[in-house]
Amino acid sequence: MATTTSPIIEDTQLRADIDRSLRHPVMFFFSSGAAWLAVSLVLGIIASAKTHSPDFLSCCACFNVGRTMPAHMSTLIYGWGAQAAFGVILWLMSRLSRQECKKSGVILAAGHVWNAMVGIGTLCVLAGAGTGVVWMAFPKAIMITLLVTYFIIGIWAVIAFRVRRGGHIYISQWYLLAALFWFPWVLISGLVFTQFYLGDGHPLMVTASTAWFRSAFMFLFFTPVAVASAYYITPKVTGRPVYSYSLAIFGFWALAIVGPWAGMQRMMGTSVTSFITFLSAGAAVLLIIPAVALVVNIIKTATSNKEAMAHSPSLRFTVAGSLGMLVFTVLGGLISLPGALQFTQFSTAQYGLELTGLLGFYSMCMFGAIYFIVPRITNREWISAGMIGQHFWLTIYGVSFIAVFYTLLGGFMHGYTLEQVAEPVEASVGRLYPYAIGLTTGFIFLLIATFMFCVHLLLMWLRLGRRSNHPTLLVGHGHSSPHGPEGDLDKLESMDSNASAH
Amino acid sequence: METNQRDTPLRRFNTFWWGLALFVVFGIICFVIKNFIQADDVYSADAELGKARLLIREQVDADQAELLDYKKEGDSVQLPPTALFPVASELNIIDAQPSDSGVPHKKEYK
Repeated sequence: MATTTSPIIEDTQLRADIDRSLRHPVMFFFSSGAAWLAVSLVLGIIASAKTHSPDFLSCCACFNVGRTMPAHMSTLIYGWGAQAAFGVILWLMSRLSRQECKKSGVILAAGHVWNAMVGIGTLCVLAGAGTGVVWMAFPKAIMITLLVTYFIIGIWAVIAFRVRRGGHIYISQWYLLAALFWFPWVLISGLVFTQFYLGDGHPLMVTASTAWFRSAFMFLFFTPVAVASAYYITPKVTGRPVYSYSLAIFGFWALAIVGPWAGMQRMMGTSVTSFITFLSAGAAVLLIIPAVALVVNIIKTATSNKEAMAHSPSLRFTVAGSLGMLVFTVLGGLISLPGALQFTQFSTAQYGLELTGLLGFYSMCMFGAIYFIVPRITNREWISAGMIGQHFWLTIYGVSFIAVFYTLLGGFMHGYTLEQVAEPVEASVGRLYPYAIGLTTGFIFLLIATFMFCVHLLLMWLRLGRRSNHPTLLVGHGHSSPHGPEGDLDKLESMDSNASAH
Repeated sequence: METNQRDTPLRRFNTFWWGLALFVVFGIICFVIKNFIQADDVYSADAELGKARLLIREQVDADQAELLDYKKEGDSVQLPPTALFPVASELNIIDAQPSDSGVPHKKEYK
């Protein structure tokens, strides 16, 4: 006779099955991504130290700033950024589509290929065989392999969406699906045009193509993934619906319409058509609109449950990441104003802005997602609330140093000195000295934070997390858990078995 | 639990191939835009300039490689810079600490 079970139990079982089906690929992407983040920060410290202490590691050509800088950015984008995005996309899409992943082995194998390509590409860049193209420094063959590998990873999220259960498409799915389609468009366009223009001897158009590519990759891939994660985690943790669903949809279309136009403002004053550069500058300012839509929605939803906002690691990182998006777009708009571009176009402000976006906005949202997802797929809780708290604050310190010292103060000072025709270029480098030290300090904060995060994640991967039915919350020593006394799963299971034996 | 009508092998198969087709279409569109849509007079002139730039670059690379290569003129021998690092290290030139030049630092860099 067929047994009937309640919908709640069925739903819980389905979610557990989805988590189990994605355990290995998602944990692999998160763990290897975190390791690449640490590598990227080490390379960033070397590159940054070179600007204020040129003799640092001068023993070997592979540590030249011309090699460590592209290696640092490439590992940050393709090692950490892309892999964190893959993990979040796969898990979120499966959960929201209520579909188990049936090809986790294929995805895991593709993940290994992706990591191997990033590793080989980084070695090529350090050995001096990089392309020299910003954000596409890996050799052409490696970039093409990454593109093919992305297809093998991403297609399963699209399939999960196509065979989804239920009719309603949640806003996070909009963003994820858009990111899945925008990624190949942006990467293929960037690769094709950059390689063609390189081959045709048009360095100006190579620079223009990469300027667009960098902006588009940030706003059309990293941003939608981070926003999708924020719109999923905030209502989940607070237990409240999104403050304004219409505003969320408006934010999506604002990003979709404005995002592709930004980037070319960096070419202002060159022989690229003025119309395009001014249009891009306008788009860079207008990108504040989707950021405001996100921040209003996330803050309003999060503050509807203040206790959850104070205690949940996932929500704390997500809210900070959403505020980071606002800071990133406001800074981006500010340094893209035609008047400001005079000082920021060739200064450190552009690099500082990219770091602010990647680390202060995107990475914070990804950390929030990882703190939410990992306990569910490993069936363990995070070991130490203290380590999570330190990870959060050290990351905030690091990003603040970079945004304030390097993007704003250093960027404008560097640009101002470059504008002084009576002074040689050495003067601008000399004036940059304290700000470069600020950047190195920021990177050191971030590296310590990332090291703690990696150790914590590794322990979770080894399934050494707490066996508890309570999440790890950021509560002080004087407070008890809002869920009541600690509930150890092993003790509960033994009590259950004793009770059933009697 | 109710059965999922959408989840069919045909739908999964279709999605896979449509996704792959989309990748190819993106590439084809880029190729067409680059090679066929921009073929006006200005672009043709610019393409000629590009060829000239590539020739200059090839010449510069070749000259630079030649200048840096092994060369013997009379009693003096020129070595590539990379070959000199071990020698300089042995002579304690690379590891030498910078010394005070005696010239005070000026704000105006003159």
